[in-house]
Amino acid sequence: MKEILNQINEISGVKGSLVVDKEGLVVVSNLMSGLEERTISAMVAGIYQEIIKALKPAEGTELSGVQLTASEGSIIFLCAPECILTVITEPGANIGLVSIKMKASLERLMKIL
Amino acid sequence: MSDPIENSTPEQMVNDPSSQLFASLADFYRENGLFPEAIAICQAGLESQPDNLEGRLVMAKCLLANNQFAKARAEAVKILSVHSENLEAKKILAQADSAGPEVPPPASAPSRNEAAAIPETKPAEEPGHAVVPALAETAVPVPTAIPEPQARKIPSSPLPLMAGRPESLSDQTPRIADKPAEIQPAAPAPPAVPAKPPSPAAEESAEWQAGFGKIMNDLVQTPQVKACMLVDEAGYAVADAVSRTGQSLSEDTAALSANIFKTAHEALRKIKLGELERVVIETGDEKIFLRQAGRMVLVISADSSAKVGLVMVNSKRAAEQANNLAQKDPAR
Repeated sequence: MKEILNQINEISGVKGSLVVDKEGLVVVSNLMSGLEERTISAMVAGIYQEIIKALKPAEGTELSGVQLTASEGSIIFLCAPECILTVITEPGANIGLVSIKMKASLERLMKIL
Repeated sequence: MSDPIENSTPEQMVNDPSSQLFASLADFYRENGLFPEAIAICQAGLESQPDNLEGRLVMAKCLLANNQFAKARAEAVKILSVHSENLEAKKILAQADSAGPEVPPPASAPSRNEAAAIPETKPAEEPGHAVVPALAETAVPVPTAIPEPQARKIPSSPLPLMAGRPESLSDQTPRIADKPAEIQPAAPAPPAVPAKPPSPAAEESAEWQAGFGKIMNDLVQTPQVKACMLVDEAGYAVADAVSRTGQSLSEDTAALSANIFKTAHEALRKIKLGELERVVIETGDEKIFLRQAGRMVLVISADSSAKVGLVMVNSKRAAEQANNLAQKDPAR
């Protein structure tokens, strides 16, 4: 799993990546220094729960992914039944390329988990 | 990639080629009883698109509903001068003529009697000239005798959905529209003039408020966008728009979306990623976009096949416009 995250981190502009479960516990992480995995995992789980609460009225709706773009970087997460793959990028990173890589990586992660 | 439209005013939005649907927006306001706003939108739109038939028709209907019969008549005549067979314009003309005391038409608009005198040698081959004879020929019901002042003969427009809208914007029209069929010919009715003309401040405020609706209506024209809504910091809806195939965003969804934005915003600041600018949420059925618009949040619901890039560009423009408009609050 760490190898999969390493490949994601090789994309230019990616600051780190991690896999968390829906409760916010870290499964595996590969983050650059300055990023705290517990804070990020808790934040991801919290946002995930908020979104699920908001989408609840749309029955049967499943969350695929979320992109948060801020002035100093972005966070992208893709949701699988068991976990959430999260990537943190710098501003100006190629989000499209990162998303493509993440989707392929998530499939591989699902086979492992 | 810089955005070509920055700091746009509502007037510029109406002149924007992508805002050719000002007539639809005005009609929406008309259906909800907001005639002054609808007239303002039509006037602005027709300045840049004087040949817009739909816009002129809506303008005529609004003027008629607002008891401005002479102006409504003038607009109907203008339409018929180009589209001589337009049934709606003929109806408006008939209603304007029968609704109130006869007002001498402006010099540019020929009267009915003058119409009859124009020779019939200009048939449809020159449609621009076939107007007035066609008026005289066709069976437009015109009363031969002007009845007692019935200034309150109101066209059968539906009662506006006035829930939540301030009365001062339209306190005249709803009361009039309440009694469409109870006119007493024997009793002289008051003249067809609004009892209390709106103050300039009220008009300015109404126009300012309508500006948010215009921004939303323009944004919802983006392909695959189903609905959009501007929400304030507290989660209350400021303005919204729905596409023809979409469904309106509920206020609950909007409030919860604003909450998501706020949560994400605080979380990102904690991990020192700066100020949150936008959020894209993908589900199996749709994509939801959230974007900061000053002190408001712009919520957009789009099909799952929507092009993120296009929605991002248009939502950025809409957010900037909304923020600029919010800063021009006339109440400040």
